[in-house]
Amino acid sequence: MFSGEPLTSSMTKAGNVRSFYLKTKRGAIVKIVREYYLRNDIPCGLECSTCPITDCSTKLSRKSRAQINKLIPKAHLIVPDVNVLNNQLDVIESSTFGDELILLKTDLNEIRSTNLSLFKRLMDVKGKKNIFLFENQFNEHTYVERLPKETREQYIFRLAISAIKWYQNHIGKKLQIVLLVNDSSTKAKATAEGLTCFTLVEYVENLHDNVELLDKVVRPPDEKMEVDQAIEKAAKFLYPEHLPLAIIQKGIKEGKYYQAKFATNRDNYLEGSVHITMNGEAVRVLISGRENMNRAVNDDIVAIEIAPKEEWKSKSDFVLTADLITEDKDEKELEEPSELENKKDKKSEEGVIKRPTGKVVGIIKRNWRQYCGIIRERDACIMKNTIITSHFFVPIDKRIPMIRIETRQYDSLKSQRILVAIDNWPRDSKFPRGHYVRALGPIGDKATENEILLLEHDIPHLQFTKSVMNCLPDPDKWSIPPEELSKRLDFRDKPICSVDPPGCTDIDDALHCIDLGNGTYEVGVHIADVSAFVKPNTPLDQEAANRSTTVYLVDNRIDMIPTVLSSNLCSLMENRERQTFSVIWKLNAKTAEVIDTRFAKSVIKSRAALTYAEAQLRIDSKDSKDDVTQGLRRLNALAKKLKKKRIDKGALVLASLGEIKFIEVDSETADNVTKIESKQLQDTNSMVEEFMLLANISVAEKLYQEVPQLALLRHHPKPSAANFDELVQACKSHGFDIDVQDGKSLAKSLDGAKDPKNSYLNLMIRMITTRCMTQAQYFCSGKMADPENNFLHFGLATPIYTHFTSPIRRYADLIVHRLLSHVIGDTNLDPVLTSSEKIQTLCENINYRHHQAQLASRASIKLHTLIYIKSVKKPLTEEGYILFVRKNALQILVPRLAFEATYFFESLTDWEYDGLTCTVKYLKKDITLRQFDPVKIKLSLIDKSTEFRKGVEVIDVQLIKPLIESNVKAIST
Amino acid sequence: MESRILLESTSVKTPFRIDGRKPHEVRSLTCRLGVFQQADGSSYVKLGNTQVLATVYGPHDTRGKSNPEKSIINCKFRLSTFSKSTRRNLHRDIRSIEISNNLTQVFDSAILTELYPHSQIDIYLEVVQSDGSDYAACINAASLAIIDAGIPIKDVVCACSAGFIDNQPITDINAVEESSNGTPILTIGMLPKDKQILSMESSGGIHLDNLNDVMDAAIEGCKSVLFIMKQTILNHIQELKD
Amino acid sequence: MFCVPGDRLCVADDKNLGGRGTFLKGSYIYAALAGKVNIIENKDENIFEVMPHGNFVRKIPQVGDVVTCQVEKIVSNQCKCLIKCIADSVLKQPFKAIIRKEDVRATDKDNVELYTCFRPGDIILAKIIGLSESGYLLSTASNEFGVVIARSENGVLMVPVSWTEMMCPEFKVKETRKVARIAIESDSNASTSSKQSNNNF
Repeated sequence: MFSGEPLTSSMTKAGNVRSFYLKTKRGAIVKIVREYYLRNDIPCGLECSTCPITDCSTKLSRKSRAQINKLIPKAHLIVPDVNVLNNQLDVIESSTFGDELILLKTDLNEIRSTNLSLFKRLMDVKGKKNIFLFENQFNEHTYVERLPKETREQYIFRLAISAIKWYQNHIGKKLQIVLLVNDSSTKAKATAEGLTCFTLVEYVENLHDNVELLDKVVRPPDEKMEVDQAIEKAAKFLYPEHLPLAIIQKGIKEGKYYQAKFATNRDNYLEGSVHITMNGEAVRVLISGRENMNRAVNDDIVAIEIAPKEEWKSKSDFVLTADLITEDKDEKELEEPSELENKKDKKSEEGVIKRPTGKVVGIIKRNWRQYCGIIRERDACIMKNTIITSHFFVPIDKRIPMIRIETRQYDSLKSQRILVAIDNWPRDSKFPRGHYVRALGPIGDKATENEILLLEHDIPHLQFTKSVMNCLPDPDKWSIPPEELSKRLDFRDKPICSVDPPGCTDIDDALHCIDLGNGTYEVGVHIADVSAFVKPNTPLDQEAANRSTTVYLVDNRIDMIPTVLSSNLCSLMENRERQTFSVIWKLNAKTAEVIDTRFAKSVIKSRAALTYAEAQLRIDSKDSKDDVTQGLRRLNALAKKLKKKRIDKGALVLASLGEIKFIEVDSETADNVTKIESKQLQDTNSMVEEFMLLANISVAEKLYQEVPQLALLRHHPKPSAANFDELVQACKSHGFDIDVQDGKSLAKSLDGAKDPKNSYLNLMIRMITTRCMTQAQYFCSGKMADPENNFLHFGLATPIYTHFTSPIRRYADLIVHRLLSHVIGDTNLDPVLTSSEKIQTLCENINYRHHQAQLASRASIKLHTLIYIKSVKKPLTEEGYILFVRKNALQILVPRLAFEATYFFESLTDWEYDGLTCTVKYLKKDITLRQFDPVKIKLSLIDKSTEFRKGVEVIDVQLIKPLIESNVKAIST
Repeated sequence: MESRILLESTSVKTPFRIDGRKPHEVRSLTCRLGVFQQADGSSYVKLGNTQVLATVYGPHDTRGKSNPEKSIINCKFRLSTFSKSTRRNLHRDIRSIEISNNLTQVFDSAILTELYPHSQIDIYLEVVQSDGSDYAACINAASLAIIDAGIPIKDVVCACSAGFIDNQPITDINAVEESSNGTPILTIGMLPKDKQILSMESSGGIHLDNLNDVMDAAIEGCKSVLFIMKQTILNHIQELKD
Repeated sequence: MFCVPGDRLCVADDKNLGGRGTFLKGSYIYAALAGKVNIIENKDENIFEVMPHGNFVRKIPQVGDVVTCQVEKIVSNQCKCLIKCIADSVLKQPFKAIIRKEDVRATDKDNVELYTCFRPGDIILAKIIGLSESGYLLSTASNEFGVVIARSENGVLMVPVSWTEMMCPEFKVKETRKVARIAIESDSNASTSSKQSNNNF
């Protein structure tokens, strides 16, 4: 007889049903019925005779936490409540709090549904410590039904109580289970049920080793306050109330409010903007002033209401940073210089472009993270007389407001960079409240500053773990395996060479060109085959996916994959056999038309690894006639033709601060900048660039043709006309007309905007144009509608584009390699890449990391400029050009240092600003300064230690030509 | 920011599914035979919250053409308008027709049709409540109804569904798992004795590497289902004898 | 012993045979029905059969079966009827059948007037001789086959008189039918009629 397995008897009480009502999008009400099963085979985490044996990795011990706390001297286990987990995660994370915690699954589910980033942090903590996850949501013994009128919070609490009661019964009297809650009313409720319960504050205060923890504890707002906080509370509410979520959602549906991400203006922290879609158009709404910002912090998701048209303001012409805040005598209130509050006088408002303005009515989601910065200095004598624990924390990120924290460690922390997290921002407090997390290192120390840079930009920079390194082969013993040799095409005899910047160790592309006769050339682009080493679902792959890109700082490079691969086994070094993924074209020699394209995996042996200069020399020298040089000459000629074709289609050539040379938008060869010196543009740069672009386009077309749902592509949306307002106005004031209708007309207008007297004018106009652009983004073709318009790469003027040519430093390229490999029939597709949803998620991560890496690079350049100026030890005199004219400052470009300096007007009454012509007039000397004018400035370091930053130097800018006197004394060192 | 979090770390590696079952546990299955007196054979199957009624009429005279060698099997599948949480009006939609055809083929192979030439056997299936794995429940119900009708059949045809979520093969998919994004589902109907698969139907894409695991999960599920069905049949016969 | 379809009953060889409700596959006999296993032991062989629950076996008309049918309509050369019972078992749903003109009688086949043999509504005993597109082919060409029950034009149940006639007991009217000779003991009328009917076939 055939006998099957019976249903396991551990499932008791089957057929339970939970039903609830939901409202669908259309407004219909549906009854949802779900069944659930309760089990009795859930382990308790201790060495227990009654529970079934599981392969549970965390085991609690019966002796845990003995003798560490005055309140509970004997051994006990802690169960943190949902509110504790939500608010006090820093305390739990710290090592002195101890291991041996029990986490309830119901609490974890609650956190997961409300705050995903917190959930991830919690899972990280769980991985590092000995925390046991008790699955109480399906446990027969601890399950309770939700009562009809019960709120979600009450229900979660009741589940926790039921779980703890059973747990205590289960393990006996010797080991006590302690519930930790956040406030005293919950504590009373729990104690009434017979549980041992303390508030986290009480528990931490009674730990023997609690110095570090006390600072990290978040005190609920109704607990005891410091003196100055009491005075603040007595003041009336400074901000309007936030609307409750239900009203906001209703308003959004009706079209009264809009949901968007709040972005604080980098130059003016009292102003922010959001991007919304109004009537189908993308509109940027300005939110200016403290009250209108209503406690929104950069990156929060907020709900805004648009003000009536009469109240619309123009984009702020001020440059405002927290540095300018001064303290009044009583050290209680902080005031901004009143002139700087956005007072507008009618004269300067006329003719200036008005923007839609709005105000924040409610916060939908806070996206607070941990911020790096320093504690604001207090007057030393006051510190001696009284013990003040309430301090202000000044974040490095200029967009974040100052944060009020409590700490007893002022003396040791005042010279350190510290990490702080925001807890809340009550209505009656001008600034948000937060708590100290940890110290990072001394201020000004190069390593600390670098660390902060990486932390602020969320860049994974820790060393590669052992499990990652284990995935790598031994470089000394490695050679191409014979089965790979037999599968791949053999190009080892072709005249292949690579052309890269000097000092480049990660060579990921090589080229060759052969004359096939009858007017056709064979051109091959060979890209390092990283996918042969980085296999899907290995620790190496996961780490690379997390990093998504190699980050280039001035003195440091954070690699995406370990050096063994990036600089050795994958890099197409000279005279080494390497595995590659090749694109071979047949091109018409005269017109550079593509006749045929094919893709194949191959093996090459590069004849030469040249620099741009070397390659140029070989092309120009009349003696060299070897096949590599001849190939280079052909490539050069073809590249010129290809480039002309692209320019005719409207490809843009723009400029950016980092390189001070002409670059393409989304340049293939300009990512790895390591020096401040400006680069000379040679033919060879452009040559490699053109073929990389052609390769990317060919791969994009092939992928979209074969796997239209799964292709990972890159697009650059055309910026709306409004984005270009600043550019158009700037050029108009100099008599140039910029046509922003499409790429071609824009490129043409940019080419025409030249001033024979000012050689940098065109460069600056291009720099401004770059700032008007939208970001190029990766996306999955299956998730993007309207391919005709949405796949466009505006900057390169191509209808479809992807990244294929740099898998060593970009994860997107690696995915494209895997997809293409599947398309040509070489390998099976990894399950992750069969879903367009998953590919889109990967794209979002890559986009985020890429953006952060760019920001980090720029910040690193700024940091090193500062260090350079410091190292020179005397004030520098530099040539500069006015990039932007503002109401209270001039933003000056210093080409030699690739630096943007800000010159603040010392006294506003001496200057007259005209928004229409973008000029300021210095009244004392009757000098008029226009945008794009050349100036000479003096850069020096001044010590602002008298104000609030001790030992931190700030770059001071003085105008030498035209000469404007100043009262600020520079320091000599 | 959700976009920062990678796929792997959002799923907590929990051993329990959304309704508390472990990955290889089938939902609670109840069957009854002989629920209608007027039909030749009938059955009622309740798999979790999915409830299916099956009735069999035959063998009887054909209405049109008849097959001189064997009996014609005619199978009609119907999803009641009230079976899901929103009322649906389609009766003759593509999915119902597809399932009807599949069921016809399944039972065509399983029933000993050579014994009844020039006749027709009708099988009617009605899904009274749908909560995932409708097709599998239908095969089970039809199988029981045929046995109740006393029509000779090679074996007790049993069926079970399986899927693949979070890199894990899962047996017996319920409606929530079915509707969650991108879950591939495989339903296998088989003759358990010979381990012959009569019907394998899948929706969504299953990667070749995972196919074996998912099939194994479905076949394991069939074993559990078969056990219950056999018990039900034997109980029913014994009751009648008494 | 109870069994379920698919259960293996025994090895198939000379001694063991499969009976009703079983099927042979490979070298084994399997049950095809759910029910009680019955082993009929003869001296040489054992027959395994499965008695289905409810004690009825699904039957359809086979060639050679004796069936009871009801006449539906008479067409020029054939008579359409519905098979209501097969031997003893009553069918839930009738099967379609026809009796051709030439199958009504064994003798003098061609000169048959169907209207004189059968009328719509008569209950007939017949034998299945084959299959056609429009149903089973029946034959009443034998003494024991023919009309068993019939009503007169007045609606009264008639009594058989001879092999060609039946009489209405109330109005004493005779009607022509092809009457079946059913053996009924201890009835003097019947024996007279049976004597009479002996001569004419």
